[in-house]
Amino acid sequence: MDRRKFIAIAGAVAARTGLAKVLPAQEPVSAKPASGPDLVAVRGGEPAQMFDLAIAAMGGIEQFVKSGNKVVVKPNIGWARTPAEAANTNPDLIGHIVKLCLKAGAKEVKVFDNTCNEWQQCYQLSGIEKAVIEAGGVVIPANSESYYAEIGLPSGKQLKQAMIHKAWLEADAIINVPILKDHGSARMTSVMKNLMGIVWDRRYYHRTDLHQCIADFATFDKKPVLNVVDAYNIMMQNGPRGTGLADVAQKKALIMSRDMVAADVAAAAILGVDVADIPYIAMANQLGVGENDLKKLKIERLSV
Amino acid sequence: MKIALKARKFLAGLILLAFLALFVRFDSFSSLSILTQIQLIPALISGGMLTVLAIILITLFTGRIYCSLLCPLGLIQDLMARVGRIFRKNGPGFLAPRFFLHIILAGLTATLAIIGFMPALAICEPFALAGRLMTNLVQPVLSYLMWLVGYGLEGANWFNKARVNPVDSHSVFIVATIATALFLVVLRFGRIYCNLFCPLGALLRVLASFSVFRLQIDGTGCTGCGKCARNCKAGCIDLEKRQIDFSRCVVCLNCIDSCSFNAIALKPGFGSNRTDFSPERRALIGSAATAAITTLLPIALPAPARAANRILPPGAGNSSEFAKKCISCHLCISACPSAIITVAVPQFAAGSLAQPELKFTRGMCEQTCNVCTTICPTGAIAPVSLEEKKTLKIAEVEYIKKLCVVETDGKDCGACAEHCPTKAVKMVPYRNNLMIPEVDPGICIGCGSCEHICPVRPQKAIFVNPIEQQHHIKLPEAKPLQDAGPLEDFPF
Repeated sequence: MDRRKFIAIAGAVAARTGLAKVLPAQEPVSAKPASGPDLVAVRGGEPAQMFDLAIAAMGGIEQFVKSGNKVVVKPNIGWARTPAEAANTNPDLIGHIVKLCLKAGAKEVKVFDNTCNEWQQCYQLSGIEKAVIEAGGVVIPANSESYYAEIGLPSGKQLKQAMIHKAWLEADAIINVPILKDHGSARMTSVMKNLMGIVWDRRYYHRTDLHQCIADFATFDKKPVLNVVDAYNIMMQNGPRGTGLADVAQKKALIMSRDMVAADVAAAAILGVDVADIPYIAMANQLGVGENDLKKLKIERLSV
Repeated sequence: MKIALKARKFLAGLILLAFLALFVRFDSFSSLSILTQIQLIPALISGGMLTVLAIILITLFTGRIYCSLLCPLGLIQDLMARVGRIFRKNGPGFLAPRFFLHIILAGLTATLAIIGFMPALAICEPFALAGRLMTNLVQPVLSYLMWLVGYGLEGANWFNKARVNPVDSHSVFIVATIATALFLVVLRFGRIYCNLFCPLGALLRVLASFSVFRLQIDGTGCTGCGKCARNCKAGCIDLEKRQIDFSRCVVCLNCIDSCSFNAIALKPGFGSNRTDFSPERRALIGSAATAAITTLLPIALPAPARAANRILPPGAGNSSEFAKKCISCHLCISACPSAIITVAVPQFAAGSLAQPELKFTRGMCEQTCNVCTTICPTGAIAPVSLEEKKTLKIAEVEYIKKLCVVETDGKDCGACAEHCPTKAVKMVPYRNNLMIPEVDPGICIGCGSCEHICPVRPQKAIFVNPIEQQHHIKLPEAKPLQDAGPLEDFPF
């Protein structure tokens, strides 16, 4: 190889490496198709069944997960409780979503939560670890600060930066799958509150301004491409931990939307809480995260 | 006899590994806690008489095999001696028996323990010593290394499920000092710990002097080369008299192996090895002396220092009862998945030195866990089922409103109520549409969830305090939901 040829090759390699960093890897997947609904609500079926109806209405999982994507599915696995106690997202639903993502060609599907109770017991008792592994996904730990990296939140009012799980940053597509619950401090936990589980220092939220921090974090530019609210079994009181089965109502519902604020507004209606009593919803709307007036949205209502 | 030696070494290695596995990864090796059920002193305290009887019979039959196979500290000392061979090839040589000193020390320790002052026993009991060594030195290092391996591997795996321990610097320093001292002593004096300081060693020593089978030197075959004495870790081979003091022998079988003339064998020999020194007579005198001390000491000594009131693992009952049973082996500390059981060193509570207490910095006492209650070798922590644990009160909540975020900053928080499993802490409406915690200590079980999660620093606005006696409480029934059925129509 002569010198000229070497320089030419080296130049080409340098250009390609540099360009790869500048050019977007692919089209942003969350671009909304022209005709689809803004929000889909389903009732009366089993979790996986309702998910299938909803995702079909949204144009199929392929709208959100492309072949070769690294996917993160983020359930609520906060508590060492069984599925019937409805403290964590339904494991069947999570397993089903993982399976569909892989079927759509996802390279990998990772599932995690920064839990409140001891993490291994949460992963195990919730049934989610088992469901994910059986579906071909991977559960990853989130119990040490080393798994987190700092991000900036320029639009945040109180929360200006946060340590978030690296898997979230590395993902091409994220599906947020909270369970809808009553919540002693946030009044309701659903879509936006579920993102607290990707943040390392949850105490910062509590000692600063819980509602504003939840809304601030929702401004983070890397958002879920899809939000799925598990409202099958709902903890109607004593949330988010619950005292037992007496707190749980079997509502058999599911909400799906790209818009986190809209999904939370619909979830609040199902839980029976006035949106005005959940300050973070209005705060997030003000920050431009999403729409809090359902009348302005195209909603598809389905029954099984 | 070569095979016997090899078998002994193999078994000892296996058992040492099992102890290591038990203390380092209790989550995976909990079944090995059977090893803690066959420890003599823990069995004496917990009332495991079958274990006690078995060990006594074995020792009466063929000497202190226990010290070379089942005692974790014996195994650790052998490992230390092996490492020590880099520095020093030979064993200690013949050591003075110091029978009386040993018996008196053991008698004192036992007496103090019987009258309820545990620290003396806790300091010298071999299982507890080994346990503290593993929990405070070995486990933190090995778990961290395992976690590092797991960090590089995909997903939640066995390695990154290793609990990376909070290290208590006091305990690490103390235990490291003791371990270093033990290493130096082993290097110079072999198993002198077992024949001078170990209370269990004293008991077995007396028993072994009546043993049916014993190691003996055959006077005709022996050339007096001294190889056996150099290889004896207990320093119990008297070359001049060509005798083995079997009461101090830990039956490691090194002497048999080292003898080029097959002059040493394990033979029935009741009444042989007689010299002016009579183990039986001394044992008798020793026992009598111990009995006398045991009777007199409680009268002479003031009442034992009261154990400091602290939060104890569920099933421990109350501080003074617990302090009388716990030998500070730290198995509960190494096994607790939430890492909330810690060492009560800095309190300088003489009666409860190095015993465990609960601290909620790392986590809370989980509703779904009763590990510590199932594994205590001495029964200081009594078994508690998961169902029982839901109502077992181990501490009580205290809330200081003027420190609370809701009061000081006028912002919602509610972390404590979120985590409370019994709703002893709940959020009630407060000014400006805020919610503020309200506590009901009557239904608090003291799990420490609220204290763990409270974001207020340096002093938390909500925390749990020790109580005198653990007891069961009655939890209120949850009020039934008005509408628990499926959604009839969409409310939007």
